[in-house]
Amino acid sequence: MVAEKATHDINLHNVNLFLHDEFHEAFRVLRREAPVHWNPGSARANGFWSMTKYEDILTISRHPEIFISSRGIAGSGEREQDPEAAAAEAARPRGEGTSSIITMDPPRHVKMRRLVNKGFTPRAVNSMEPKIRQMTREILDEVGDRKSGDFVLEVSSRLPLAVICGLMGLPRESWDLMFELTNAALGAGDPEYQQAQTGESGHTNIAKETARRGNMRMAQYFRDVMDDRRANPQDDLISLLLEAEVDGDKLTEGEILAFCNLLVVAGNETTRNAISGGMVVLDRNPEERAKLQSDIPKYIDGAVEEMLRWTSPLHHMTREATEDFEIRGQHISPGEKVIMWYPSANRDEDVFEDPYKFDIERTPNDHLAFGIGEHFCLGAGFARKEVKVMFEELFDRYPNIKVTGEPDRLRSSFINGVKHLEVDYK
Amino acid sequence: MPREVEVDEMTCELHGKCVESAPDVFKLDADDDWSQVKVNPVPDALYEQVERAILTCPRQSIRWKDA
Repeated sequence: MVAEKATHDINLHNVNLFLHDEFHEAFRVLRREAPVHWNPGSARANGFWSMTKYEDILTISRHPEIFISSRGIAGSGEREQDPEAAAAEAARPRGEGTSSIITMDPPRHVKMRRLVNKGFTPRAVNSMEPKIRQMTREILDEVGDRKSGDFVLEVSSRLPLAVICGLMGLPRESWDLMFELTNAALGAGDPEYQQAQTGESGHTNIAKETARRGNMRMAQYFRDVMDDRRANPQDDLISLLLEAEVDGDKLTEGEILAFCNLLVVAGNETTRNAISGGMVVLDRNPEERAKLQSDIPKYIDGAVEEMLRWTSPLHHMTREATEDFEIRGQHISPGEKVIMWYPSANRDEDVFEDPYKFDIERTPNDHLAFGIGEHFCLGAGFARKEVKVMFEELFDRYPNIKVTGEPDRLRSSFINGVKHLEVDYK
Repeated sequence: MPREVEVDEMTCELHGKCVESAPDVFKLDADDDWSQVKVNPVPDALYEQVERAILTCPRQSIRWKDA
């Protein structure tokens, strides 16, 4: 029996918690002892409310006009030391002209989302299944007869890259660059990706510089693509966004850039980890894996949902309160950050029976891996389909694939990432 | 009072969870642009189904009209 932490010892600013599975234990204690928990600020970062119960995350998600996204959706934001700068920041217009839908509030959010969402419905995704299967087979063809390798670099990162780059009309040659730049954008706190962008690693300023360089290079790349599509429109998302209007106005260049950035980052950094994390949890649960492989058509849909619940590829989304709000006896004030912890909701004992059991037949399995409500993951249909097709094809080609090393995890409290995973394919 | 249910056509993205939860109330045909309500007002016996559909709709696009 491991000694339990008291809730006041739990500090979710500590990114190292997320390098191992320790964060699940912290969430378990918070759910029981302090389900709506004030996590004090640090010298550099704001404090925030942690939401760890399924029901409370539903409540916050159902009020996107009170709990807004336009003041940042990851982490709690940097603490502004200078009071004048803090006041200016508070008064700043909220992301006008440079925002994507993920940091946009009602009523504009849904209008922007509707420009593209027809391409992401389950129906649209189903029509692309043959293409997704072909992409998957090509990826596995490249692995070929190799006995062992890095599952993340060779398999799990490739399919999401192929699918999102395909939707955006980006050529095969762009995959490696997109992989590198989205890693820099979302993995800026990780020493490996800091080194790749800046040649240094370790402290907070390097993380900021890593993200800045990644975003700058991404913007440069997409400016060139936009110039090309203006001259030669194609049947792709970038051409669509260039033509689109909201309330009679074209999108600004900043909005289109932000949209492209969002699509390529969100398309890449999430499904990859559902596949990698799915591989790990199947490997660690040989009975469930054997059941799945005994009758894949029967079990695959349930297995995909359970892999999503289990991995919760996104650790959190942040909101900022705009009104006073009472929840579970706690008072949230305007301007305070609220962080919704999805892995915690997805192991909530009040919702999931035996939540720490990996059960591919779990019914119902209404996990919140994609969030819920106004900002429900636009790409959920593609994510589900990619995970499903990947494991169907993977187990057909490499039925004895085996994880041979510990997952090399991303240093992040935002993305539940696996950077490298050694496997024997045969 | 018999209750009516409605689907927000602006936000529905055709996930079909409502049809799974409440097959006697909602339908989604291949050419529908949003989920369709088959019976309004909803018979008492189907309230529980509708409550589950409201709870699990990914986009939270379903609500009781009087709510």
